[in-house]
Amino acid sequence: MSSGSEGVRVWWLFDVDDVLYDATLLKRMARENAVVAMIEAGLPADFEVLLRKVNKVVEERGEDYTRHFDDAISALGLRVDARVIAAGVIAYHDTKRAFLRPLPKVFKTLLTLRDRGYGLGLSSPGSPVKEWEKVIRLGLHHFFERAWVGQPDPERHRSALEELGVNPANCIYVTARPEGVDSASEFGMKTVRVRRGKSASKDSATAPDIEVVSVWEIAGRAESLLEG
Amino acid sequence: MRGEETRGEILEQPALMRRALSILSVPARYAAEALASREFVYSIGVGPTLHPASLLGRILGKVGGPGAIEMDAEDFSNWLAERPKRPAAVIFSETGEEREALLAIRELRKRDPAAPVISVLGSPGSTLHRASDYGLVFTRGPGRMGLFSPMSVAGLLLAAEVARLAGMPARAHSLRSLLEAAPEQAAEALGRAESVADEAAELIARSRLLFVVSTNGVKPAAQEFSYRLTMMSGIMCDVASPGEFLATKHRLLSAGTPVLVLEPERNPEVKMAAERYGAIVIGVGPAGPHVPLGVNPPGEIAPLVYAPALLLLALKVTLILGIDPDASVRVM
Repeated sequence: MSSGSEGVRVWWLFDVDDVLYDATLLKRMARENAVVAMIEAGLPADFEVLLRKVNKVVEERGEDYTRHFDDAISALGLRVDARVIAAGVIAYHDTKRAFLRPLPKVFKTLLTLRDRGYGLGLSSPGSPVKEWEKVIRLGLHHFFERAWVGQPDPERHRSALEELGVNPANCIYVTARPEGVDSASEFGMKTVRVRRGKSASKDSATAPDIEVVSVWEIAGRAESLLEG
Repeated sequence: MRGEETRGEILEQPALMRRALSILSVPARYAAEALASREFVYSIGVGPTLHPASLLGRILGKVGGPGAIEMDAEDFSNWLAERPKRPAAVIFSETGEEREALLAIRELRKRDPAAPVISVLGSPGSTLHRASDYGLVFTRGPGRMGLFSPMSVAGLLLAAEVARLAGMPARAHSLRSLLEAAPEQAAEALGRAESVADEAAELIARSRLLFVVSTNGVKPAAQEFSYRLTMMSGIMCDVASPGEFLATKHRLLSAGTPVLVLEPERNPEVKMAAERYGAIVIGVGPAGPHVPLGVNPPGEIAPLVYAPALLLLALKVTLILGIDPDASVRVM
């Protein structure tokens, strides 16, 4: 059943991180490998100390900040050496490429939903170029007919609902972020919470319509979600 | 009997800690005043004195003091930030004459002429002593087992005084009380190790390479153990934190390689990761399992308590290999 109660097409909007691929695992592995690479390039720092400092900078300045390693090294009172930074950046990107793979059965789930006639869209608050880079590298870009990327949660949901012209109850947002669940719920959208990644143990203020551990579980529960 | 002089120096460690506590308390109070007003402290060591420097570097930020990092004097000139923020340096040195240590002072003062330098020394009147603003001197001089214990006490005394000056008197008092209890705990751990470390020593002696995995709290003791073991027996050591070991190094193990894990109960996954590739895991901690020390010291003083027992383990390995550490060439 791809139609909602009003006979209009139902849309599934997918967040990217920890929904389509294991973002938390990728970022942690990439940061750890970058720290190892910087130490191997000669930086006289302890692995745990430097990793903690990098994580702190990421927490304070956000993931899209471009000078995480520089700031972490400066905070340790050390000279910022371009060679060391480059070693870290290379290790980070090499790891990223190795780990940027769709989670199990993501392809099958998207194919199943599309074959049932649902509309598939992307909806992610991350930096637009970075989000598209991920989706293209994952090889999933052809699945999504529409995309809303880059704006924060409320604006993005508002744009999506206006552009699609659908009742919010016919829009399902799939996300691993508890704040994503809250924001979509405020617009009246249905929500699927993927309990995965760095926010897995945090609860949203509003209960999601369904919770899953992996995105492949939603194909089997789509109908019951729309009937509920 | 082989190794008796070395054994004597190891058994003497708790007494050295007590002596350092009594001798260095007052100078540490004055020296700490120079540190407390600074923004960043470079805790610098040369060779084995990097290990007590590492202990100070790790604890200073946790007692309300300035940020700190431990560094090898050899790296200092090359890696010091271009414009360090109100820095100070604490330099640990046994002889006070190492070229790298003297260069480190010169480089620091070139960047900030007002930067205070405190030296923790094994020899009074040395060039480093004269060039420093404050000197904490423990005059026993370098022996076979170096000055890890008294220098670590000096570092912790500095940290306790910095805590007091930073408005954390309870933290200062607690650190001071822990320090006073450390020699007794170290003696107890030593006594236990004496009777139970033989099997662990046999396992370590079978290989030319040893991986050592240590929680950050005990890492200075792990570094000291590794350094002394290599010097006495020629066994090469690779020290890592559990995070580093699990991220990369466990994948470098081959079947039969011994992995010494300190405080194994804190990181049970280390044992599983090491055994995945056929390594032999040797646990040293409050409850062993191979070397049960019988004491569970808090993180601040754990390196002080662990180090003598680990040095005894290193001695046992050396003796099993048929090497007389008393006859070996002194490296310091």
